[in-house]
Amino acid sequence: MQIYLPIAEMAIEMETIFILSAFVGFLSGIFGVGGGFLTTPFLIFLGIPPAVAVGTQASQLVASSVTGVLGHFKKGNVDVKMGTVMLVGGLSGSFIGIFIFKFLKYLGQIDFAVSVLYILLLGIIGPMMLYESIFSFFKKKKSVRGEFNTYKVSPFIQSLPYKMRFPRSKLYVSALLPGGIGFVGGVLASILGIGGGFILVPAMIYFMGMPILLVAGTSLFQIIFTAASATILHAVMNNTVDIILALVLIAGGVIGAQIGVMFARFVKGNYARVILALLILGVCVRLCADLFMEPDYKYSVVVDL
Amino acid sequence: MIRILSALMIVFFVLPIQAKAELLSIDLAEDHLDITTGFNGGLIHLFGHRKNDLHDVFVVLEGPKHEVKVRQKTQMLGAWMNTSTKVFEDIPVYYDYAFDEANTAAVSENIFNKFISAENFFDIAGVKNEKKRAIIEKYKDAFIDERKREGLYPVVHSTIKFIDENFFKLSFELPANVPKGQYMVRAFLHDDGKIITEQRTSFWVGQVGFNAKVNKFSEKESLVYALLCVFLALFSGWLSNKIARK
Repeated sequence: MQIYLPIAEMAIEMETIFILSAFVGFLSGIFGVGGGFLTTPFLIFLGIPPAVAVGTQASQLVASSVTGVLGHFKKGNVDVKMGTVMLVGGLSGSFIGIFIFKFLKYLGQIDFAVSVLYILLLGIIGPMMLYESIFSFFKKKKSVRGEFNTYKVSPFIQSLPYKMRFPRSKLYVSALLPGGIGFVGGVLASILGIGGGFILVPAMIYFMGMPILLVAGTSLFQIIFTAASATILHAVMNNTVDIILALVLIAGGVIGAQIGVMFARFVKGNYARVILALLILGVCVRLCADLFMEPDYKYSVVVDL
Repeated sequence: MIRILSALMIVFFVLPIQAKAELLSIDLAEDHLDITTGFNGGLIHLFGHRKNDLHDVFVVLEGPKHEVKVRQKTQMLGAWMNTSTKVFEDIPVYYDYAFDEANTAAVSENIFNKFISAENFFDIAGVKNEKKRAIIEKYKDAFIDERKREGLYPVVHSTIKFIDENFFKLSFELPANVPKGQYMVRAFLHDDGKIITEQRTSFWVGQVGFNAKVNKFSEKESLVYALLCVFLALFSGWLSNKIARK
């Protein structure tokens, strides 16, 4: 069914968007990843203007993070104090991100910047995930890490000023650290419409030495606010949040995620992870091809309304 | 004296205009094209009448005029990126034209180049430097090509159908991606490379109903709209968690 998007001002096949978001939701149900890093490029492939794709995806991110965080709250796996410090960084990051976005759009480089950032991100995550999942086929688990285990952090990080106590995580670290990690997440949310969980989570584990158990819930907690801020900023400053597109994305995402969660019981983690890694690599290759192969049309047109 | 003058004025100025106006008259079946939620393009029907079949008719349709930027990609370190931009002012973002079906040959090259060709939107002849002009020409050609690919400029002409000798009709087919705004229809009566008379009318393309309300609201009350989007997302996230637990 064709529907006309009131903000994007274009007609789209609703089924296509729905299936896409359900598919990404399905993946996030299985793997617990946000999936924004797949939705935004797919929307752009479908011809939705990058600005609308990013702005609208940010609102979908709010919905999926809320769903995720409620589960973590119930189990008590959210460090609210840590999350709050992170989201101070996250909110300022989303502000800066919007200005970078606007500036790049003005320069006519936003498509290019979004592509390059995605290629970098997906190009790093894809191979890492592939390596890890293939490697773990051959490696037997030697020791099961305790859920409250933490990584030792480097002395440089320990020497940073403005130290704060985080009782829930049993940490005494500089507030600059969670603030800085949140900041990066905020910039990513504004420019790419993603939560950046796949960057925040490892950073929280390896740089901050946060207990693994608390990491997912805490990062989701702060992503809600960062994504909400990015949504509001995109809507107010660029008028690029399409509420109809958002509804289709959210509905598809919710349904897909439920199926994914049910499916997750029957799927062997490592096989599934290989598939996800290959999918990420596939998107990355496609973006690379678009960027490096001679385009069919070297000229593009922008109409200033 | 004044009476005589005004009578002369009428004879010399008003009457000829009226007489000319009667040579050609046009009207649209509807003066608006509504973009609704299910919009997938639409037709605009034009009806017209000419006084006699001594002269031929052609019609052009000009969409809303905007500033357009044409960007060129070149290869930088292997990657293709926009490196230069040319701005054109007041260019119709949609364009179409129609000739008499039976008598296409009647539109002379002279008439086409002067009154119909999309090239006329670009004020390039004034650029004296030949090198510069060649570059601008390239951007102009690229713009016209892009519009044609998008179905926003005509690849072939539409056709005017004559119902009898002088009464004609014409349907412009506007695509799903038609830009919104004011559209100007200009009908010409021409003969021997000269324009005898011109008639104009216009119609509006815009979102209506729910879509229009959403669009307007998002612009006028952007903060409320933004908060609504966020609230909607929060609510559906919460709802989905509730459903999942059951």
